[in-house]
Amino acid sequence: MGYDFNAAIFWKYVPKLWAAAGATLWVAVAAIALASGVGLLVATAKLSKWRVVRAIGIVYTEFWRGTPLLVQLLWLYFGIPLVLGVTISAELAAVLALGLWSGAHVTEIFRGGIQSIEDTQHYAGYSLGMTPLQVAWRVVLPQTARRILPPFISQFVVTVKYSALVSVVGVVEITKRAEMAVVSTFRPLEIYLAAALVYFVLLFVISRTGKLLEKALRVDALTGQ
Amino acid sequence: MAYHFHFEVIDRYLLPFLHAGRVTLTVAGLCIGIGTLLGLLVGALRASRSRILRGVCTVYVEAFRLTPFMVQLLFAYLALPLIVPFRITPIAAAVLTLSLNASAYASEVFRAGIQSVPQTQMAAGLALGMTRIQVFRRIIIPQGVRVVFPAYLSLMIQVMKDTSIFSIIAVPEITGYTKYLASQTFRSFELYTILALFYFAVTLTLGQLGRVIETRVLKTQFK
Repeated sequence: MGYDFNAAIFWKYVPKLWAAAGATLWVAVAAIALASGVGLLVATAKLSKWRVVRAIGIVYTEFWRGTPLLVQLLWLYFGIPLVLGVTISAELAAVLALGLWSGAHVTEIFRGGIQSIEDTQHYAGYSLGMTPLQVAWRVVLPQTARRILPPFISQFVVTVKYSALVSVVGVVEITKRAEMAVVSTFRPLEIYLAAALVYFVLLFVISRTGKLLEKALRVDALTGQ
Repeated sequence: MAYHFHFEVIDRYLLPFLHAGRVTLTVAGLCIGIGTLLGLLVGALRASRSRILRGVCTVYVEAFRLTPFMVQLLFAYLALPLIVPFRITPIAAAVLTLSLNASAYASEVFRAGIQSVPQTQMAAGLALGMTRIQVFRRIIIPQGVRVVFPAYLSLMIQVMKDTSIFSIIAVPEITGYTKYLASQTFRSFELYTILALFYFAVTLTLGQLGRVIETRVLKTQFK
């Protein structure tokens, strides 16, 4: 046995793969932005008073949460364009798949957040003479935002993590860059370790930042500070 | 031009398709089983009194949770064989990686379950003359299981869905087989739709099964 681990290659590829982290983040941020829009829309649908609208919301979340992201990606990139008679770029398919998939999870986060605000908060607002819009903007929204921030950041971390899958359709982000480097150097051990390190640092920083943000936004119930 | 759907393309390949489906279910079952057992072990070790043991387990859990499963899988399949003195088949690499990955997440779920039971329960059990193990088995675990079951269930559904990623290292499971069929027949839309429906049926069944367990088996005793 005795494989000699080439530390020089490892350290050479850490910054090279770190440079590809921009692409990973770009895909993930675009996806979470799409997911937020989708989440807002579908959460509203799921809380609607009309049964049909609620049913559409349920079908959406159940379908995107009940199938693997990889299958959704293959379906969007190889399947849908055939039917529509168009071609779409790998990047677009990646952002769409990641965003629509993440959107189903964000929907549940938003829905839970909105439902967690007690009815009495609405009543209190009205009794103070606020309009429904004022109640939504000044009473419900700030409290919801604070409650959904931790799960929303977790969902962003999950989105960054699963964005590795978009390398399958050829988007050059960290994982694809690592695969390309392995093909040209035959050093999978060093390069995949470097890729793992880059992801670890990236995700660690994001989740830590989230924790700090959470703390900064925490409001004392009594003083309002 | 309008697209003509040919969902019947699957007819010719139905048997191998279902066979690949069985491979998916088998590897998912293996990963869920091994992942749960290892998760219990790691979860218990993280509650241990030894600081070193706790530290090792924390590093283990965070290493798996803060890197993508796909990178872990590529590492296990392409890099690990260089440093271990035996051959690793794709299926072994896949099951090993997903089981370890699942155990890291599961250990967190189990830990949360143990922590959800108030400390006073342990004190009460000890005061009644039970041993620590007895309190764990009879008081803490039965209550903790009820708390963690929903999270555990969605984790295991996640594991089931993650087996689709095995297709990148040539495990003959259903996503890989469907990719192959799509390249043979150019019926990507129909085939991936059928594939999605397969996964949807499986996760729906798992979810319903979970709900039955939750309401029939784990129903709260004091009502």
